[in-house]
Amino acid sequence: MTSPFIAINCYTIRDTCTNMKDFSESMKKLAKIGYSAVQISGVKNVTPLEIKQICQDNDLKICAAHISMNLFEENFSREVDKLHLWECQAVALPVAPEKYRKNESSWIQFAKDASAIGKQLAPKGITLCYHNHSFEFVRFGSGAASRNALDIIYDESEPEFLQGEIDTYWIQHGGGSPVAYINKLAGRQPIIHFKDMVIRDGQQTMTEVGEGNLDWPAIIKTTVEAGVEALIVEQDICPGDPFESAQISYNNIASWGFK
Amino acid sequence: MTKPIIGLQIYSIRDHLKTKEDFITSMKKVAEIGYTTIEIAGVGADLSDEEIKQICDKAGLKIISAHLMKDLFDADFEGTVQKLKTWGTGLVTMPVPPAYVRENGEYEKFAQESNQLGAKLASEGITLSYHNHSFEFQKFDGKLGIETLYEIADPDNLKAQLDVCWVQRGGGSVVAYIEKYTGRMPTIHFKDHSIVDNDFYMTPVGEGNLDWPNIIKAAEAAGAQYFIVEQDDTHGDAFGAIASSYNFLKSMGYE
Repeated sequence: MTSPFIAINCYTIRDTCTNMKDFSESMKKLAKIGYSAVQISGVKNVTPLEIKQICQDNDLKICAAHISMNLFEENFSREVDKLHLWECQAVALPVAPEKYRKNESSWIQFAKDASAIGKQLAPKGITLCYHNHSFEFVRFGSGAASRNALDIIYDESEPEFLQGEIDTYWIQHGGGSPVAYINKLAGRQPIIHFKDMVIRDGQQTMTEVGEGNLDWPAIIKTTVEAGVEALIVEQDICPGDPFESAQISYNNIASWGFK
Repeated sequence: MTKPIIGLQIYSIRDHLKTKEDFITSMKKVAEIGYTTIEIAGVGADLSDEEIKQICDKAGLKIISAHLMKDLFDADFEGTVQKLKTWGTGLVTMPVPPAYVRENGEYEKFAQESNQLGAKLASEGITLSYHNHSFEFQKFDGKLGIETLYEIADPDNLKAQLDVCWVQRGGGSVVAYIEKYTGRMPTIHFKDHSIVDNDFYMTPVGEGNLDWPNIIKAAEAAGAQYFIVEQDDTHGDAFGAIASSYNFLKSMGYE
């Protein structure tokens, strides 16, 4: 088993990914922090080719991307070409489209439809994953026999064609155990999103990896055992300069023996 | 090690404890569900401690714990101890900290005061605990409030009545915190955590997303004597909710 590497989702620094010049500057900063890989998400007004070149210039591997389901439905080969150009082998659906978020059968349908896309991507050398929030922790069915939508997604899809991109913060936010979910998806989760939870002014909020209350020793141990390849930092909300947050998360994960 | 017993924090049904008649009826209903033990809080009815005890006795419910504010002991230590003795319980829990804790994060001061109170109560044969929410998971001077509290107070003088749902809300690993307070947790509070309309929704035990098989296993291993059901918000169906929690815990092998 190879050791997982540290990466960052560009969504974290999305405010400085809205034109080529800013994106170029941002990738330089990420590389300087120490990151060797990025996930493409939240990048605007930069062409796929420019993204590729800028990442290459900064020795940043594109280890993953977020692509919405409707883009695959709209033009499958365009999205595949883009991922091939980036030499990117893992792509996650960032969110389930609204139409699937209604009832148990619509979530089952989502699992099936996502699997179908994953099945098309597999022969292209690309693994499809799902990125959760906490709204997937809504439950269907009655009493103790009920199950949540995230379980429906993973239980009703084909494991080979729909894999996990667990988001540690959102699992906790939904009432789940991050460790239990990482275990559940062992061998079925090439990438993972790391963000931490903290209480500020009495309220739950996001913080840099290792600065909050999530049980990182147990999460890290389980993540490595589960065969995750990329530890992707994603912090939707940063208290100040997102690059400072990116630096803190990187340093903490590096201090646990990763790079 | 004896098997933990299911209890009910009657705060869960506080809307049905507002008159003597309600209290009598509600205790009967609680016993009918199957509960044999309760923790007192939220009794709105104008009842003496003796009356509360008699009504519970008559319903076949043993009072195994009570939630009492620290202020009560500060104002009248002897009288408050007598209350617990009248109820026949050796366990008492502070449901919230004094206001200064939430205002200034003075967990060190609270820990010292709790330690003193706990030592005084111990000499009366009473065990003092603290019941957490999620605000104790905020850091002050780089340290979580909950950690400062339980590190500074002597484990003999202050026990932890962990509330599993609030540990989750605070970002902590429920199982890890239970393990951390092994031997220091005579009672534990069980409620569940679901999501409705993209937001936190409290549910009966077993109907949410908490990892019950592991939580229950850890809580028993940690020496908890009572698994106390507490559902602050039952969404209008208090007795249905507490029955559901009871039945779930029963299905897990407890009574």
